[in-house]
Amino acid sequence: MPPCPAFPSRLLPLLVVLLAACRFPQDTEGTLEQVSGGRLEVGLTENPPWVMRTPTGPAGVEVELVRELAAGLDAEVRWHWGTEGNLVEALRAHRIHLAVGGIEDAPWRRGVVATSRVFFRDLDVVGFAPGTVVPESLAGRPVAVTILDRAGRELEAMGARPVYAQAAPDLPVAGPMWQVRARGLVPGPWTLGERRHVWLLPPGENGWILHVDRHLARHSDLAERLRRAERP
Amino acid sequence: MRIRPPYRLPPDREQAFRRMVRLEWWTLGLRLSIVLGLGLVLGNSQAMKAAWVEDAIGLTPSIAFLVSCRWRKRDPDRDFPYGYQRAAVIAFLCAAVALSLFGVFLLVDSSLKLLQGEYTTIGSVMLFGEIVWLGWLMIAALLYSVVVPLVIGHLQERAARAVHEKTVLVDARMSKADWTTGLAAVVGILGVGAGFWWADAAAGALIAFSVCKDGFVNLREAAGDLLDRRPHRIGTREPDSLTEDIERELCALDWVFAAEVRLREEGSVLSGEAFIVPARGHERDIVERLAEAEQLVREFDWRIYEVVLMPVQSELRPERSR
Repeated sequence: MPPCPAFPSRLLPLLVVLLAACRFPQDTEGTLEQVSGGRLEVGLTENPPWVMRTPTGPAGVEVELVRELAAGLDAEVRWHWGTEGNLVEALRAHRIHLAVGGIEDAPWRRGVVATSRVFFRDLDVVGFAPGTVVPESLAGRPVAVTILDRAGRELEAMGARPVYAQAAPDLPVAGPMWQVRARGLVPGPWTLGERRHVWLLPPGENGWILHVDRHLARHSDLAERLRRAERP
Repeated sequence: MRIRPPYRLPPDREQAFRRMVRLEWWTLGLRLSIVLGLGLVLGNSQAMKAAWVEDAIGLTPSIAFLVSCRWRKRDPDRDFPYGYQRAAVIAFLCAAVALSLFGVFLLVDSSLKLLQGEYTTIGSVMLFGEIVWLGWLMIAALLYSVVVPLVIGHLQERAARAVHEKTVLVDARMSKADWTTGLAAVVGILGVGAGFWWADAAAGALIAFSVCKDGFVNLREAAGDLLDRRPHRIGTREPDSLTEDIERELCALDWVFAAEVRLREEGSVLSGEAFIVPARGHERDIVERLAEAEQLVREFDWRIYEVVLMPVQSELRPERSR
């Protein structure tokens, strides 16, 4: 009987690397391992319809996404309400695993916390009531916009007259495309900027971040979910 | 005003020179593709940043050489009676300064990240409908940035030696040395992927160190050229024996009692002065003799551009005389 050829020991390191590559990249603090079959600590900041505070607990489009993520990992979710500032601090200290709340990508956050890929993009537009004539230009026109909205500055730059009112039923309204459509308004031809939605994640947890990115990329129906959430 | 006659390369060197110019254009194009490729996948990685800066500034020697080629073709004129041979040195010095400063900056930056214990986050990208870890793309770009210069570097070095082109030689050497920094960055990225937070910043610091070294070496070369250092054999730290060879050649002439020569590098060509003590009895026809000797010196080596011959009274060191 011929001798069984020995496994070439020189290939052993290669094999180790290949095996490690199956779970590559890994986390620095082992978040994905902790969460799988364990607890998912999620920071929340209110921002309807993404995240809403209801008597029966958190609700909203992103809350649903988080629940789906947790279900896939067989994890129990614990919700922690806070301001964005609190949440960023907690992420940096690796006390929570994720923070959501309709948060948009911003350059000043780079290098402070990690973010997911941009999982939802939308344009800011001006919506007109159906049946009204859309004007040639916004110059001099009053447009309703909330005071915290970045679109206000863009409106000023375009020569429009932003009206910072809680309710202005007769005026055209600036807002993201999904919202304008959900309210049954007709979007005008101008774009006031882009919204790029991200989740905030702890720095250095590269395996966990990749897992979250893959989860978010599976959902292409977000515009539809947002519209459903906006309709009473 | 006496303006220098234009310098012309011998025909065979001229051909080699043209080949090198063509090679430099290729180098520049490929290098640009590397800088672009790395820039696209830069992310948050410190090691990537360092490798990218090194490659971006690494473009300058090629650009400097190609720009100076334009200038160098110009003949000496009234405003620049010594010609434009040294145009490349200016660009070379600028590149060396930039490289040194960036190297120091990156070294401090990476060390701070290391000391503060900052974690490196490497995200993901969508590629053909799949979410892929950005680290893999970084590694692909880095490997490309390693292989291409390694190949070009060899070709460049051969071409540069043929025509004594220092800018290109330094460029070639940097290309060939860069593979270590590229691989260091790959190891840094793999380390981050394996969960070691410090791997990236450590690799970044290591690369920054090599950038500093490149900068200082080039700085010394450029400074040496500007300070009229004696000619050195290309790519070595040894002085060229050309000065002594010419002295010997001149001393061998029967009308020369003693001769001393000093030469300097002007880019890739050499110029300088020769001081000659005529032998007793030969002072009368000195003008014709000097013209002959000048011809002799000019044809001694193709790199000699202009050597001014000067008859002097005997005040030379005794060992230089017959």
